[in-house]
Amino acid sequence: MTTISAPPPPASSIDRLAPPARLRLRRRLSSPRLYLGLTGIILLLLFWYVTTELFPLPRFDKLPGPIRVWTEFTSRNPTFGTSLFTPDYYKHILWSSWRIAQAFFWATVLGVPLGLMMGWKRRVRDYAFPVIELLRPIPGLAWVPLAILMIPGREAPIIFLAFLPAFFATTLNTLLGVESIDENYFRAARCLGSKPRHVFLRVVLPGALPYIFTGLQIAVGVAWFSLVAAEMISGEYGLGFLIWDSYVLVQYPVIVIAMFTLGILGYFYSVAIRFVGGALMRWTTRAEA
Amino acid sequence: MDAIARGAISIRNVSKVYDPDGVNLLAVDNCSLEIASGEFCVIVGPSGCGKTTLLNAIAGFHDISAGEIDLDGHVLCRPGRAPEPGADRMVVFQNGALFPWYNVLDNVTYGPEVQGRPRKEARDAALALLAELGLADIARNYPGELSSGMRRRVEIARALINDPTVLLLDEPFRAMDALTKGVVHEFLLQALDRVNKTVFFITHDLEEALFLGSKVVIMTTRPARVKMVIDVDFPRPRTFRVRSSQHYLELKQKVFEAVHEEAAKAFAAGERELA
Repeated sequence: MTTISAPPPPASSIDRLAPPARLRLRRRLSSPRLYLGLTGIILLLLFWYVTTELFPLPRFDKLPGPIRVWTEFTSRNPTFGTSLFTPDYYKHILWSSWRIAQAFFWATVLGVPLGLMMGWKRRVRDYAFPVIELLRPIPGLAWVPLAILMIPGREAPIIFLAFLPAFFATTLNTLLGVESIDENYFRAARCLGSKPRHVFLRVVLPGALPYIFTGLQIAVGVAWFSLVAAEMISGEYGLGFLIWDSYVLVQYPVIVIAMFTLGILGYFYSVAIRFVGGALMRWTTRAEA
Repeated sequence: MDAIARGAISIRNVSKVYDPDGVNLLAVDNCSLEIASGEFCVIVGPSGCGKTTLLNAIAGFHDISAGEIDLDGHVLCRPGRAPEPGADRMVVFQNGALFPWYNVLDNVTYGPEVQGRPRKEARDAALALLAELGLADIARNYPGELSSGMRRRVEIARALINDPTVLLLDEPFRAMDALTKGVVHEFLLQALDRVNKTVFFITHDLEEALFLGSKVVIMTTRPARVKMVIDVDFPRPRTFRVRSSQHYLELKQKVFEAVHEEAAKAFAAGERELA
């Protein structure tokens, strides 16, 4: 060190360089991860094919094999009336998605503020926590009779059943998120002259955000859980209804079509939430250096 | 300084008793210390001796059990009085407390904004300060993207923009390698050169204490009391060359002996507690 003045930071000490999109794609294609994943899926399909179509296992002979399901799914004129080309298929998807959207909306709108308040104010937490911990372990299906008795109409009880577990997951993860915030951030905020609303909006909320989004991902998952069960019991549309209806009507390939659709939708919603979370929390994705 | 000089801290007969699970723990015992306006006061002492307790009391994070702490004649702390942090006393924390969800610029504007300054004005002031301190390049970076030395500089900037009268630093450069420390020390001294602040600085590093401080206060092992006050009269601006002067070595010897004595006591006390 020859100069006394502190030198300005060299720009290279800061890793701002995210690899360009094309490079990322190439890296992804050349890593074994993608191929291992594909191999896993192919093995699953192979197992399914072998046990149902090639050498059916004792009780598997009634199950539709992958080829049968695929032909049905892609047929313009499907035997059982549900395929990629029938409006009914999309109607079921839309009904289920719409219900999930409403359940998820209410779970977020009620769960996040409640969780934040519980984490922020000891008193709110002391009131609410025992109640939530008491209700949370009750399985969604146990609520079915009460939901039907309490809530009028056909739609609302179904949405309520999907909402309930999503609400608990959101609330508790948000609470956990607030509790995870280092005490020093609160001290720093007070030291810098924050009023309570600043602490809430600028420390509690952003500090809990990573946990909130984990909670929302879990929430959408458990909402699908309960939704499908609820749709099997009551409802005239929706993927859960479709599965049960196809079982009753002995239209087995449709069951599998609906199941795979659920898998794909669930994955899609999870990715969507992660994407929104990533956009809101660039500080977690950029801070890897 | 002169009549308008601010930032004189008066710590008079302060005691602090912690009461976890009914076991009284005397952290600070009848501690008195006068810090003049604009003084760079460094506190050294064995680990867990109650230095941070004192700092937290000045910052307004917790109350005290006895005595009084004044700032420019106003009472900051007194038993039975709810502690209150204020923008006149800025803390730089031991483990760093930049908000990871805000970039450097938003961290620096945080104070002025919550204190009610218009957003535009706060941003301009922050950008000017960052430029002055050589941090303009990283204004849009998040703390997680910066080295620990860089984060410390930003945190000092975040404190200074509020124009506090007192700067409280709790072992801010600990766990930093010697080279980084050297650079950050010079950064801190330069930043303070332009503005006259009273500094309350806690450290374990005796070299750091002598290089930075105008006064080094050695605390006893718990409960904390003032053991010795040493005036460090090297001229400012100081450079790292100070460290090779004869006078520096003499002072260092003196401080080291005093601290070592207390550390040995603390160690023996620890042995006794374990036995």
